[in-house]
Amino acid sequence: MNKDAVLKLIYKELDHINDNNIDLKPETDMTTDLNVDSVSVMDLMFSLEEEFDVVVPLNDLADIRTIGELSDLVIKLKTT
Amino acid sequence: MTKFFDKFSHIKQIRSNFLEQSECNPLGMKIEEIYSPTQARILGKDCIMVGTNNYLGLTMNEDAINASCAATQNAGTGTTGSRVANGSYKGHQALEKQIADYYEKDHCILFTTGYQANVGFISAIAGRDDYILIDADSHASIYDGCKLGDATIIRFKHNDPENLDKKLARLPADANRLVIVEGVYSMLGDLAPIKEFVAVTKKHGAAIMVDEAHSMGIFGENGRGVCEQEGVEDDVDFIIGTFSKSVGTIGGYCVSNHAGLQDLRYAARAYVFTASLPPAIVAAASENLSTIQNTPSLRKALWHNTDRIYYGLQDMGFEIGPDKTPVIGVKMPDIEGGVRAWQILFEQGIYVNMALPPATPAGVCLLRCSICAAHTDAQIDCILVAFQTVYDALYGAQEEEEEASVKKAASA
Repeated sequence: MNKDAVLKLIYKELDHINDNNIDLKPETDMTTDLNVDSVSVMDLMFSLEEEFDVVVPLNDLADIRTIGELSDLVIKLKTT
Repeated sequence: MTKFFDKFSHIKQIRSNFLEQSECNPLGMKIEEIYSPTQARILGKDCIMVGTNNYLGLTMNEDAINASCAATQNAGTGTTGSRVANGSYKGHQALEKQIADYYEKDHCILFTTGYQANVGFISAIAGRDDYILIDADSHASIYDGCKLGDATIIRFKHNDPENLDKKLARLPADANRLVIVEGVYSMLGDLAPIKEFVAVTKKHGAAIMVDEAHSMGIFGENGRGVCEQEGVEDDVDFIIGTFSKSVGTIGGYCVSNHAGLQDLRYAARAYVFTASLPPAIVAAASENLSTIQNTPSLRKALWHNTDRIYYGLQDMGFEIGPDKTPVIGVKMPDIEGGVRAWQILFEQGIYVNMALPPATPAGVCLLRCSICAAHTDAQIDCILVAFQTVYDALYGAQEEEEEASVKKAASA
């Protein structure tokens, strides 16, 4: 699975809430840098699930802080 | 040490903005005196209560009050113990049987609150290798029950059986899978498409739990909720209910035909490690449950009132929930507008709940109305007049501008 494709979709989904125009990178912390709220996280997960045909358990989200960690999770779920 | 509290700064900021905006803080109202199920004094003002969850007006049911007083005289003010220790009185067992009989189910377990019923049941029922699938707009008690348990938690789109179908299809068919939905959602009052959810769940061989907190007493010929109304009770594995809405007191329960439900008396920590309901509450719940069963006219009155307010608000132009239920969430343009609207209502002696994210879906600010069977036609007239004032204040100028621009364009 292509990590760039996952990152590209995450960037696209986060773009509309990136009010301060922060340069989105794998290291970007979604909570502290972007102040992403729970509703936006939910929408983002539904988009990722649809696009990559995976199910993202809520349990796995607790440890996710950066965009890179989220893309790694999606790839892990897709390949297991 | 104080850094512990830094994480609350965001919500604190919102609350302090409220205090700055409002002489009377909608999130911190103190009710000074209760006159009836629909009337109270707040900040020295007599108000019509339109934000209670007291759907059938049974908090002041004289039979329940008398039974409650007698139970206190007979058995004291509390049980001071868990159901698995010294807190299981004859009344608790009789009430469990009464609820099971009411639902025509084999088993019932009482919990001390509705919140604990969800947390206790959900955290215990599914283990490490099991899956729980929850509606995205689920109540906090459902989310908290999931968080306390060991199961894998999957969220599906709100009221979307197709999305649930996709999620179930991606899970191992031989695993235990429990789907959780609510009959009526507490903020917008929208109804779950329960037949479709049951069909999808059964297609995949999974189990389903329905939380009827805001639908029990309201829907169905006997008031058992949306599962009764939609004729799916036999296909629903577990029903959770509360006494703190239509039943007019406090407490929670789960009913089921699965004999294994009884095992939760040892496994559900929210059942084991808390004191049981006081005798007064058990007696009141029992009386009010009988009243709900035997008084269909209460439901008729509630629907009469709901019709008037739901269609009244809709005709005025307010954006409200998609389904007509006694929970009517009126969408506000933003928090500032919501506070203003709340104040206009309060000045006219109308009390509603103000609901803000994250308690609301899609991050909206709502004026949450809950309708009561005991509201009189005269009270409903007052409520509608007050909401018309709100509409004019919020949208009147905007509508005038729009009309003027249409006229200008037409004459150009």
